[in-house]
Amino acid sequence: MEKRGKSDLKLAVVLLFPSVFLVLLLVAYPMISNIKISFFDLPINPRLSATFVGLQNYTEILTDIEFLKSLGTTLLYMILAVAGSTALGLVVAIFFNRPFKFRKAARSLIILSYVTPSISLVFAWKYMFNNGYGVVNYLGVDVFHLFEKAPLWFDNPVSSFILVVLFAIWRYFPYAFISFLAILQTVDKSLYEAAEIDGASTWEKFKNVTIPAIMPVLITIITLRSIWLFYMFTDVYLLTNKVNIIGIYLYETAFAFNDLGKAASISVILFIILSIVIIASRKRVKLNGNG
Amino acid sequence: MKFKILILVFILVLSMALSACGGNEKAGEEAKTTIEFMHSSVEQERLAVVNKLVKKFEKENPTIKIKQVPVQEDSYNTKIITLASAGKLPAVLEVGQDYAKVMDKEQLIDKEAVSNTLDKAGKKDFYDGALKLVTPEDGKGHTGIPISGWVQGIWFNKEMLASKGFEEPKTWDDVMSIAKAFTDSGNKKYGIGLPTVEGGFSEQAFSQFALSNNANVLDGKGQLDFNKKAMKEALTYYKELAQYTMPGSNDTTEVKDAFMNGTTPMAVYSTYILPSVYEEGDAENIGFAIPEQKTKAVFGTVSAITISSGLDDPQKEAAQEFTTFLSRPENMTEWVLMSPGGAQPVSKAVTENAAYQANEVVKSFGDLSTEIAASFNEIQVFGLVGEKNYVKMGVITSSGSISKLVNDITVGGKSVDMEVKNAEQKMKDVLKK
Repeated sequence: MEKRGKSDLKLAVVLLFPSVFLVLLLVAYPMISNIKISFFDLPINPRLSATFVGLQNYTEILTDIEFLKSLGTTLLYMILAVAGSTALGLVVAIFFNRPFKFRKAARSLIILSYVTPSISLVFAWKYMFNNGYGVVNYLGVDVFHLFEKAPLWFDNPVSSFILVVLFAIWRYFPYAFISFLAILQTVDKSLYEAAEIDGASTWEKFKNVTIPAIMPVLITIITLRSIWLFYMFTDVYLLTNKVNIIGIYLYETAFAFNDLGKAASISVILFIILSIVIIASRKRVKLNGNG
Repeated sequence: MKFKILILVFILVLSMALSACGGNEKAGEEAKTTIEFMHSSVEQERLAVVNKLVKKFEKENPTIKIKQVPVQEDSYNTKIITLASAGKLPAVLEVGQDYAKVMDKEQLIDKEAVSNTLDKAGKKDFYDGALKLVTPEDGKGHTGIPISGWVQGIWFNKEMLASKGFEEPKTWDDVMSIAKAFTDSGNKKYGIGLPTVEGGFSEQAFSQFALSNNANVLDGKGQLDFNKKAMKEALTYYKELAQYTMPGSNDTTEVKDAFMNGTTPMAVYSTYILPSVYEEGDAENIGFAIPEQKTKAVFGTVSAITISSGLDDPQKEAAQEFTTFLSRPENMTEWVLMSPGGAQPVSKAVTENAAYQANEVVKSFGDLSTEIAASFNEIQVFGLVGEKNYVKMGVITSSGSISKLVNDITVGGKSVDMEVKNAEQKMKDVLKK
């Protein structure tokens, strides 16, 4: 028996080796390399020598008011977009969790915004809100006379921020919708029937039956979407330059100012912030007995 | 025993997989020197032209193999940084003159190899303006061999101007008068398509007005010389002119759309507007003007072919052979004609080439094509003072301080004096780093 146990362990090591090797190569090595770079003033040309600057990159970043501003903007963007896309996804999933005509076709249409490439959607939005010929201004000014003059949607920091949040909610709610619909279809109908017999209202049924049933998916969606939106770059960068989220700040540091050391230190700081969020959310899942 | 066999099988599979990734050179091709060529011609029809040139070169030089790396324009500079940092920069690269400055600062260009190639290609044929743009700050060598370029100025619709009794605008005052006469914002008609976006397009457009008023960002010694009367005059003029353009931040799409659909009779744009004008069959109705105050200033940029530094001897030799081949008039002509009208010749050898002159698009614009080509000698850009092309201008442009200033005063309605001070401070900060 003992001999067989040892042989299984060896086999397990061999079988695991490719995965471990890939994780070390694709995750651990870049991470360690990134941490190393963050302590240097690194030229682009690898033949030129790098200067060790200690914690200077970190102190400069943490005392840069622009970094702190963009961190605040990113957090607000992330919270609003995650909350909005999750709530909208849940509402639509509840609506779709019942039979009706053309349900399959409607479901396919709903996920369109999620599967279409960002660049096409961004251009569509930019055309919609164009100051001269955008349909939004046409309706608002010429048809319904809501505004006297067309608002400069993407030139004003506040309206730009609202639009990028709305864009994110609209673009990413289908992910929440699909996940919620999948788990809602597994909820036992008898639970709702039992609650009805007990005289529960719609809100009470939602609170006491639906929410506990979908909790694992809800936590997963919030965690994953928060990570993705925290690092968001493309959508916001293409839509407007009035919303300076952290992805853009990082991109400009690395590729406009060619300051690779500072950019590396920003990503380490962001990694730490996100790790705290993930650890906290994992604890939350475990507390609920789902992890 | 079983374990050893398993390990052996795993190693064999891994080595087979890795060898499969390692390229497919046949035994007879081992003597070839392979070099990479990175360019931005990703569109199918442009790629076909580059493929044809590469095949022709490989036929003439059987010991050299060219491996192409086509990269989208938006991610081009990002790709250069990542490849350079990894020590994997291709031997030959297509690069704009501004980014060539950044690469030169990082010692990523073999200027000696580039200069040798340029000498072989016949330096005297190239327009002076184009060569100035690829001359580094110390005036020694070149950062690239210009292959094509584009210039920017004020395009105008001759018929529309004539309908209100105007002729070609020559001075700042002419431009302002025409812009004012055609603006009817209630009916969404404007006098000029003017760049106001917080981006490179605005800095380029504004630079023409500033430089025509003899206002540059740096002085002859390379010191910051931004906050001065001539610069403020140009900014005040640009702000006033922006009253007669479309509201909001106008980027290339808005300006081109407005001019092409007749919303404006004038637009500040590059020669890349010409292919669309040709397609519309309106080639004879377009004119090109250069804003003039104290002097004339055309904004222009060249696309150059450069050789990266740190190559071993056979690769360097192969890179020089290939760049020399691309600089031959007939090959440069093919390159320029990838986008006829949009891309402009940077050498008289191309302008005088029969194939270039016979091109339908080029012919359709008649004398305008010659006028545009000649304007290469009137190119002025921020940071180019006399013969000195200051590297630090690249840092100032990257900081976005000028484009933000233009956007703030035109779209944001902020005061010129205050924003000039803010922009100057931002420039000082980035130059200190």
